[in-house]
Amino acid sequence: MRWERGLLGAGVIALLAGSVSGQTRDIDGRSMAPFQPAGKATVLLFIQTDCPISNSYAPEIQRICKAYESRGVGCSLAYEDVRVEAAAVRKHLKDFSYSAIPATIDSSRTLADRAKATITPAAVVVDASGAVRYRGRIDNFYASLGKPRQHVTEHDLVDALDAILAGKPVPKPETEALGCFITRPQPRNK
Amino acid sequence: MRTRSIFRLKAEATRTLLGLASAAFLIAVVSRGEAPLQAQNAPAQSRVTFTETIAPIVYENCVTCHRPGEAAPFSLISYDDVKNRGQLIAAVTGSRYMPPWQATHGYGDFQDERRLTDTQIQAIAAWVKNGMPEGPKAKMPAAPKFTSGWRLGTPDLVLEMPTEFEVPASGPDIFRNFVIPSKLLEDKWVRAVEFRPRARTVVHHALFAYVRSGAYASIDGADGQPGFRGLAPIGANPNISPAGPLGGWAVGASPRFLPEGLALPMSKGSDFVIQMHFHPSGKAEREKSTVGIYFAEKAPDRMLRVLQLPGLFGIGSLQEIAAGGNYAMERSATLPVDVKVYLANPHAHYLGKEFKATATLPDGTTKPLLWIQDWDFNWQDGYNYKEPLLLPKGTRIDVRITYDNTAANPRNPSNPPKRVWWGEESTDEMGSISFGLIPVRREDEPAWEQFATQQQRGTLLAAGQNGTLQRVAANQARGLLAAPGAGRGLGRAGAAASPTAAAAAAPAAITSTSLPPQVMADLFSGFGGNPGALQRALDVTATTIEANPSHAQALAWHGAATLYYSSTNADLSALDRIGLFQRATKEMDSAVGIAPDDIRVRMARGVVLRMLTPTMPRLANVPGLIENARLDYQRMFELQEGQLEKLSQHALGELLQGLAELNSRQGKTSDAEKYYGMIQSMLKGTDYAARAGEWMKTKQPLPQAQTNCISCHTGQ
Repeated sequence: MRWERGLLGAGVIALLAGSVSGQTRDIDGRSMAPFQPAGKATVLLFIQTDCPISNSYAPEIQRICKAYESRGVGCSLAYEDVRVEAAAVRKHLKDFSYSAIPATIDSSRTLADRAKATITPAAVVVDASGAVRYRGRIDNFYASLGKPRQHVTEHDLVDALDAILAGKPVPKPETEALGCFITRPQPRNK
Repeated sequence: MRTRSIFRLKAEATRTLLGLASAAFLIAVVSRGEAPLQAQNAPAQSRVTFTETIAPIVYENCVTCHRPGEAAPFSLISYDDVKNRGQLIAAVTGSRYMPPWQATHGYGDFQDERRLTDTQIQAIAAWVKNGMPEGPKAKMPAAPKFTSGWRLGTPDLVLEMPTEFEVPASGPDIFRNFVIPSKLLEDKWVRAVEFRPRARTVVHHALFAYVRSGAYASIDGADGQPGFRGLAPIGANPNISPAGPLGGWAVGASPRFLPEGLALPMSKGSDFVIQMHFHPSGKAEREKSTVGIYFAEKAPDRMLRVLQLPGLFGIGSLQEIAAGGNYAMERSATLPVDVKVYLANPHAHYLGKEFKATATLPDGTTKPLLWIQDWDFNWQDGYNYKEPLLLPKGTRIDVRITYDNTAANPRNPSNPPKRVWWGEESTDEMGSISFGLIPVRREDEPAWEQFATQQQRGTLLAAGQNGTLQRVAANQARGLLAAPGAGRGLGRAGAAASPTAAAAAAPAAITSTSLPPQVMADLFSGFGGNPGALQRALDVTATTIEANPSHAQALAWHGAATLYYSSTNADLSALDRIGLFQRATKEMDSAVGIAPDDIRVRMARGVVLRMLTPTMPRLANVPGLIENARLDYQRMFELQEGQLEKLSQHALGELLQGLAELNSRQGKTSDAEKYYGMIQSMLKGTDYAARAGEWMKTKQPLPQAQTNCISCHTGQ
């Protein structure tokens, strides 16, 4: 009994440690530490395989990640689907041409909880010190659900990255993301 | 390709007309989903469960689209499916973004209205709030059955796009037309078209039409991809005959047969054309649609009529929409006969905001027809009345359409907002509601016909008076003057379709400001009644302009030939004629502006205006045109004044006679007398001198001389 309790305690501590460090593994088993950027910042992008708004941002996410890669900004994808097989995520990565960006399935919502992300798509930017500097939408393309703009007028994620790289405060550190809700795993309710 | 240039002119001048029927018929065939469930029994909110309350709501209202293989993004079939989306479902039903339905509930009673009751929305909210319990499994309703094959049964004709079209992962929306040969062996009547897109996530809506076989062959695939671009309405181009609209489809639509045994014609051997609106989804897709066509046994005995308010998509009503401002447009019509109204189809572009249509009966009672409070270009629904509305003779229909051109409108296509006029591009605006109806009594058909003609005439007159026609013509002229490649699909590809004309024009376009003599000969021969020569001249001048947009002679002669064509071709509609007229005069005036001292430029405008003004309608500002013609002749005279004796008898005679005649028509009798006197002294013994003698007797304008240019200017 004591032994069991001890093991449980160690497990909890290990879990907490993992949670605090933000260590996780990507879909191919490589370790990922989005909260400890190797370069100047990491963009953690919360997405889902079947959320249309999240999917429609795939080309823009790739464009931004590619543009900032050489400036020391890394990107990570966190899949926030409810129950999704690794094979389905692999297919999604391929279909939406995400192959250049490491991805993880955040089924326990560890990353979403730590980053306080509640919507897909959403971007959370962590700077070199590990501090969360931006949380919210990628840009203002959607005025509301079902109401896309003809012209994007605010590029919030890019503005945040530019500010961080320039050593300046992020103009709007928090914006409201529009899209699909990230649901927490919960027991079946009878 | 004989008629290429003329076709292009007509296509651009008349696009406005084309959408009328197609837009109206869209609705006749399009309708939506399954009928919504009646209000649920008010659930005890403390115990709302999935199986007892939520599943029936979702099955009746959501799963037509939210199921595997359909357009909507995720399936809502199982308890887990719905529970995982519970928060989102509560949010989007609470805001009434879902199910998508633009018309205001209760303002018109429509078939297939996609709408949840307040009670249903509250039940969903309560269920999500209380943790989304599943409830007793025994109470779970059976999942609805959907036909996997054709919903209307086996079609009489199945057509498939010959090749796939690739929709890129991102970028602006795409409007693209695809041509499929029907290979029909006889004329048919179409009761319904069922549409089956393959890449359902990106296909938003589609319009159908049939056209004469090969009508679009020259532009189909011309840009290296299947089909051709553009959202100009297809199927009602007066230059493509036979042709006609065949309905449409939008996301979530269920195919339906036209009401009351109505059917639309489709000609043997024709091409079926699909115009699709694609939304890129983030992932590249390949579309290859299939359509099933259902024929009637015989021709229907009644025609569906269309009352459009304001007419022709608002061309006569829509004025300038100021940048940053709001705008409202109102139009009314009083019905000449008793009618049965089946459907209402609103149309505007991105700035459209509110549509409201109300009928006021002769006894003063009102009937709501349609009210959309937040128009969304992406949900181009048609609205079919549950029961046809009987509106007696004397009923007034009022339509009001508003626009939001402020920067606060996220749908504004211009940032910052720009001044907007009526037009066909997505950055222009239109606005109308088309009502599909039939006169109750067959014997009222002629009265309706007369009423419809009057309506259209009034619309065109208003469009001429408010400057819209002139603006449209000027825009078309700008389009014409734009370099090749900047042009719109039809025009650009049309040029490529006539390599011989391009080759013929090339030397003139590149090396000279003068047209080859053969072109002049063709033009005069065309004026003399040789349509082949006229066509050749149109082809060469058009191609010359595309290579050199400020080629004054080509502009002048293209304009002159266009004006002659528009004034003498009996098959043209009124709108065609006016559009071509506006464009032709614009071209000629630009040419005179570019090269005021080029005799051939002056000659083109002067001769054609002098020849055609006597038979032009009032709308054309005839006195202004006569003045232009006189100025052209005057300038030609001045430019040659020192060497008149060197001119041929014909050239001198035409010059002096034209100058004399135009002065006489303007009431400048002493000037007329001067030139007629010159004819009498310089061209003694000729027909010109004889005519001058005739004039001297009364000093009043003579009936026009019957010059037959073809006898001298021989074309091939």
